[in-house]
Amino acid sequence: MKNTKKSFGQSFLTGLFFKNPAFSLYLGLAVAVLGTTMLENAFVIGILVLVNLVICNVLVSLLRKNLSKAEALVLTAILSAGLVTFEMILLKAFFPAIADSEALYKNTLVITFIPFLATSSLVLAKSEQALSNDPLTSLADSLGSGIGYLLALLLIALFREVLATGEISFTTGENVQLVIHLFDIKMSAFGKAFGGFFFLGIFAGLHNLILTKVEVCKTKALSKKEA
Amino acid sequence: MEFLIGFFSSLFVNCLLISGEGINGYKPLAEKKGMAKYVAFIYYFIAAVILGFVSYGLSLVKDNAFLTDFTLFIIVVLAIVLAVAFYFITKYCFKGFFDELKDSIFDIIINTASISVALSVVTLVLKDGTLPTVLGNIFGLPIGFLVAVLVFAPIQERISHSNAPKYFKGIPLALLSLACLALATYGLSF
Repeated sequence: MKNTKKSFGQSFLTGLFFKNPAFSLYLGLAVAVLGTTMLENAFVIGILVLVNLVICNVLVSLLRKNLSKAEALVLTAILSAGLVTFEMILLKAFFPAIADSEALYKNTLVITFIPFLATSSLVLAKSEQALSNDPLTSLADSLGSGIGYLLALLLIALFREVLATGEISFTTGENVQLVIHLFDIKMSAFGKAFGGFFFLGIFAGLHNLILTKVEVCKTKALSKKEA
Repeated sequence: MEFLIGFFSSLFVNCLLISGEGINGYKPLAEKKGMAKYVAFIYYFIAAVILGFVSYGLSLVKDNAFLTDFTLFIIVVLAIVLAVAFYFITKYCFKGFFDELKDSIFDIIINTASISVALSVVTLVLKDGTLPTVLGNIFGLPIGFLVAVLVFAPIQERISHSNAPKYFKGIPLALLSLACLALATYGLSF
């Protein structure tokens, strides 16, 4: 029992940090570029990815003995598209303020980006991995990866929104927004694809740096122990 | 004229790779070698155009709530059907490419790059885009994406040998180069 718990924690931590989907495995980059224009969008998209990832991975893992790689991919794509459609209907019904389809013109609303989750490479690639894992390990891995991806999106979105608009805004009700004004300088290019690619590249590089330092520390600690 | 404006604006300015939507479709296409690469390109282009036309047809039916809500689902299912069709076409008609393409056909067809052609058509119809503009986008977006893949693959190859900090070598540096390309096209959009 203890052993299972340890592997659950290890799988979780691996997905969360050591093999972070956005900064280390470079998965789900399209959504990471498109959906991080605002902190609020990044949060909603991150949560939806987490839900999709957990459901798809656990289901594929449960059916792993009867599925080939291509079948797992097809199953995940259909399941993911169904989940995304269901989530869009729920968002329109319960959160009309953030899912108003007429406001597509603004191109900043979360409903514009949600359809891209259906074929996100993160969900599709992780389903292949789930084929070789038992359901518990898959659950740990998808939870870790989903939360790691959510944190990565929030980090990128924070920098992009602040630099592009000089403020952080949250929708608190229909046509009601809470705006935290930080400064007057607006660099709108960061709100476009440039900002997404730029911060993804910078944070991926920094993540590599941190991972290398962690590895060096681990090796030093091991050699000290042996000595 | 509207077709040409739609075509060239989607070809250069709204290019899927540079706007970020097709970044996960880039790898399976760019990694192919020789003729298999061009067969993969043709598969992607045909799939994207079919998905674009189907989504145009679906988005014209505005008073059917089921179709409005399930457009995305139908598009993804159609993409899967196309991927299966291309799999069997390659297996029985283009046997020489089957070994190289069999593992990646699904990645080439079912990705954000092909789905986003359909989704941009839906968005365009919602914004009252005319038929020539929609047609320009249906053909311009996939061609623009493939041109960007062809242009960016050698750039990525070249920067992989550059004297950059070792932590940034590989994908981080490629992302920063794409950021520069995206900034250039952002300048064109004014």
